[in-house]
Amino acid sequence: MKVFGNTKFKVYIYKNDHLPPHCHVRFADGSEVRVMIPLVEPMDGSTISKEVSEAIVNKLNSLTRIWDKFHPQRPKNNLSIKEKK
Amino acid sequence: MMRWNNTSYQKIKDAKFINESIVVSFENGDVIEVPKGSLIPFGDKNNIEWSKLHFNPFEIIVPATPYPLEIQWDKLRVITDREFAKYLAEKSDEQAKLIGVKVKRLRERKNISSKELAERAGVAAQTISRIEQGHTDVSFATLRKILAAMGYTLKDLANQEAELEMENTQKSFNVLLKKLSYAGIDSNFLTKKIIPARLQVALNAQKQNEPTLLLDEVASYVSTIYGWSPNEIWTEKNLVVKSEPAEMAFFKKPTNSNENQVKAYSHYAFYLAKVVLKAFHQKNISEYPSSIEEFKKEYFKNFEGIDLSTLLEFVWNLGICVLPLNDSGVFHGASWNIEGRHVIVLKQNTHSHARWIFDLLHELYHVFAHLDDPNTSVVEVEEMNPFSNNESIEELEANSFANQVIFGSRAEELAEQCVAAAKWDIKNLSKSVVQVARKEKVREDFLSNYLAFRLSYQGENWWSSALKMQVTEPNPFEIASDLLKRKVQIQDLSPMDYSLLTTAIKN
Repeated sequence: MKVFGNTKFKVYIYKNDHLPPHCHVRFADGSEVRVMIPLVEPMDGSTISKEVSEAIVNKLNSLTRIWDKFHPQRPKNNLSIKEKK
Repeated sequence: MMRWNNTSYQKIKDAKFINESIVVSFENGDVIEVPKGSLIPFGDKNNIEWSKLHFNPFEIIVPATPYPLEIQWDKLRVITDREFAKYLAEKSDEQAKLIGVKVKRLRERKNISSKELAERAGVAAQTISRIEQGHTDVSFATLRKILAAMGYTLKDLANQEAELEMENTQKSFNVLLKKLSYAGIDSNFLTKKIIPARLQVALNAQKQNEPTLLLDEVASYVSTIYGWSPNEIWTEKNLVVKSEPAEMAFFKKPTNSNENQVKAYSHYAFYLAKVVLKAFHQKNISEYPSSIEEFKKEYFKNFEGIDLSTLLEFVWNLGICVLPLNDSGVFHGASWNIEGRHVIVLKQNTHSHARWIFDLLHELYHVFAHLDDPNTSVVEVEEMNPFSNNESIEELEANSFANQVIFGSRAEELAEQCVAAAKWDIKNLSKSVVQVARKEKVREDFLSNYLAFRLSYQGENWWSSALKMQVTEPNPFEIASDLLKRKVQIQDLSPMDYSLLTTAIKN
């Protein structure tokens, strides 16, 4: 699903994707970089421009909300049983 | 460059639905077949029209109700490329740990305890601890809540690195201390064990204006042990201690939040173990005994009773190096097989010979039985005693070996004799231990130690009596370090290794 973008790049998040949490940034030239959230670091050691990095940082709230929504199988917090005791 | 960074590894060239599977060709020539079952997300897809799939270079789109199913290239690769999946799992672990370090740093910056933060955020204290320890099972919603409770946002978390880098552009000893502290290396240990005294004197003398060359020399000691480049130390991201020395084999994760310290100390001990091996050139090494009977036969052929000096001598004669360390903390000893040669690291804070001997026998068994393969290890993250770590078979076996060497198979029988001779009254136990030890020709310190541990597991504290019966002179650390100095050619080491090893074994 495309979350946001402009003419230079578009940012996607997929359902049921693998960890670590990340978004796919696709550029107009046909290349792609996967960027881990919420620390906004490229997954494969590549670099991203300040423009892309700032755009993702500014959208972190919506990106992480979508990630949580798309990955409900990710345990929220498995400590509640112990706490109730 | 890893193959998955190559565009041709990522780009889809063709995709077809054949025999209940999707067959995908990538630009690099790879053709993979993925059964449709492994691509259906949980629950929400009905009427998936697999035969009508279409694709673009990065994803396959399959018409479905209520929304089309989008399958991205890395999803396909992670299912079919084990190395790629492993890489991602490691990356995930690394990221989660980094998030943990950053959350902790923000919390400490605000001077908030984890308990207080948990209360403020309305989450369990364990949730804070899990995040800070780098667990991946915490949702972003919880993370946002925790950050908000400190007055931060996800944006602050992401931008923190830039801030740290800004701080770090100023090279200083304090910056180094701060970075190392996050990696689990505390300043006390650093100044006491890693940085030579002459450099510390120089640093103190030039506190106001620390010369770059001096700082670089200090950093070179750290980078030699931990394998970080100078660039990593001064300018880049958080320093993370590599796990290898602690994870080669039976490493058990510590139960509390000290994994970083265990890793950092294990790395230091591992480095020293390699240094010791570099300087140990003994020839005529005997073969390891293949059973406890053979061990006893060989040992008692040369030595009369079990005492620390003779046992250490026996172990060294087998070609096994024994390195004593005396720092406090969470690491309690280790054994390594480094390229087919063994090193035992002992770390005891007591002067009790009985405890040192028990630990040495325990580790020796690991060497005999569990470390045949090159580059394997056992790292002890819990204190060793006759009854400890009973959940692990390897630890149980090592305890059993130590007890058998010390007591034969009679440990429990002797304990019962002591209790009976004391007329089941703990006040009489000291006297009865002396009597039984004499009668049965067992050392009092071994027997009292065994009983004190035995009783402590049933809620009785008999330690003050047992401690009085311990042999503590000469200092066991000195016995072990003096023997090491005699066995290895320390003078052959490089100045840096010489400094690190001699500092480590100095009492």
